[in-house]
Amino acid sequence: MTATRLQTKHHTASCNHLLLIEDERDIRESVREILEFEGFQVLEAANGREGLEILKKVPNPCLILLDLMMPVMDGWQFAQALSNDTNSQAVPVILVTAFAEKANTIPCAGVLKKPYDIDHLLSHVKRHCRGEGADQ
Amino acid sequence: MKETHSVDLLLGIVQRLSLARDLQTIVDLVRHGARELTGADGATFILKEQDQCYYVDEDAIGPLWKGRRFPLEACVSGWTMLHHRSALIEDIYDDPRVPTEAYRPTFVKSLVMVPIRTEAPIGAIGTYWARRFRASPRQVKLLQALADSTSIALENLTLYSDLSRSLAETRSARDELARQLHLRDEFISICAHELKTPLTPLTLQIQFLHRLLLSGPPAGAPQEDAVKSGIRKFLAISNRQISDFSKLIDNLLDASRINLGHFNFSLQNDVNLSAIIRKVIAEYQAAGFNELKASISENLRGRWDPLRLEQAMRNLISNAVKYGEKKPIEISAAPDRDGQVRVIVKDHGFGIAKEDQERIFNRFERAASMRRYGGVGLGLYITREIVQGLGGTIHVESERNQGAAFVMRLPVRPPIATHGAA
Ligand SMILES: Nc1ncnc2c1ncn2[C@@H]1O[C@H](COP(=O)(O)OP(=O)(O)O)[C@@H](O)[C@H]1O
Ligand SMILES: [Mg+2]
Repeated sequence: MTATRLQTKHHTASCNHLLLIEDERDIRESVREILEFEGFQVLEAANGREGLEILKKVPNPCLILLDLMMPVMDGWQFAQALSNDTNSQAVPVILVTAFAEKANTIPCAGVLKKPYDIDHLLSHVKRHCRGEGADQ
Repeated sequence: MKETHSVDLLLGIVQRLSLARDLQTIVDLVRHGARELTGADGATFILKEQDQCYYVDEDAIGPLWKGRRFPLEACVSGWTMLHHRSALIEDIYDDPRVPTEAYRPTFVKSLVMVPIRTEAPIGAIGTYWARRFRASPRQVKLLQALADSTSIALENLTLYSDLSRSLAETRSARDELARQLHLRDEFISICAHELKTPLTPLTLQIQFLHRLLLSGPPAGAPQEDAVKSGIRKFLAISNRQISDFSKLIDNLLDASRINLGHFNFSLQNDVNLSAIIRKVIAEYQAAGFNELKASISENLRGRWDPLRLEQAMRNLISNAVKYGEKKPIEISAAPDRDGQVRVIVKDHGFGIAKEDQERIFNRFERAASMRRYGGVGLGLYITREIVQGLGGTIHVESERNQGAAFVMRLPVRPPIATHGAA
């Protein structure tokens, strides 16, 4: 946990942009709606490749929410590419997956197990990002 | 040669023969052993092949007949085999059994030949001297003992290779079973994944609505509007997710019905396949997938089970959408020869390697990367069951990275005794 906090501090603390990489449209929409409601800005990608494209333009989101099983470029490959990307490698990653057993192969700041509830989602997000309308 | 020495030697050879697991080892033990036991200048190992003597190998001071074949009637080894007894020849040029022509180029002047397995000979062992020589009865006995042990070793060899063949068969059956069990374990894990995925947006939506009701909308927006639009979104997502969910469960149930032999059909006359296909295509278009090109003949009618046909079409089209990398999909349906109709669902995705094209129609079998695509591997299994149940056939034509075309042929009137037909 300490390491995670430090990493967050080292990161731009005022940033409220999140990158959400998830191939299931309904999950993307739901998560975006919830996070926007809490004052966060959500950038959406339907697979790892789209995620990398977004990072080229916005290299420092406060957090990446990463699904694992995705077409075109899966979460494992995305994590690999991210670790080699000097501009974005410090961005904390939360894995979001129904295959929690398979997640431990990727270094990350946390794991959200599908199906998860809003409280879990928000507590992970708030550890790394500050929403505009948030209390603190 | 000292008596005890030659007995020890024989015992040593017999013991090594008993351990031999291949023909070459036996041949080597015998040709060297025969020569050493008798102190001869040469020894040959001969096997009977139908009506010929095959000189398999030799150990001698000069070349003999290695690799050659002679008729049984035309050589001394043949004579021993035909007469079930040993031959002791002191001078080869003085014995009518010897084909002198074959011996002239060799060093041989005298010989002893013993049959392998006297009662029903399968070969012979020959020992040869470069001088006129009369072997002692003891030497002949030692040689015969060697031949008897050789016969046992050869029989063991056949038994052993039968045994190892059946062991190999058992092993491959066991490997196949292990593969099936592994597939099933994988299936259970993927199944859990596939069931949890639609639950995620449902859970989130329900909780979000709950939040809206409890804590109110963001500053400024009227609560009622926020709740209303929340409900609308929730309903749309629920509809989609619940239908995915029940399709998955239907697939699981159908697979188990097939397995138990309870997969039934309700045949009806005048089922309109053209309309069924159009309906499924419209569903995908409504869900936002617009790259579907259809060329469907009007009025393809037959005696079929409409719900099962719809299920088969949905399985094929959903695969094309899922594995087709968002490229266009072409669907065609037309009358075919011999009162059949032919339906083709063709995509331009990553295709299916030749070695997977049969396997994917089996239960739980999948060929795409498990890290990229979910799916329990039942769609094609059920589809093939439906098509075959209606008397038709299905196969895939594909090359890696060249897309895939699933070709289905259905008789307009299924042959009677469609299995499980209701
Ligand atoms: N149109 C297609 N293009 C490429 N591969 C396909 C296609 N349709 C099916 N497959 C392959 O066949 C496998 C079995 O398909 P299916 O029985 O429908 O199961 P599932 O889609 O659940 O994996 C798939 O996992 C995939 O590897
Ligand atoms: Mg499928």
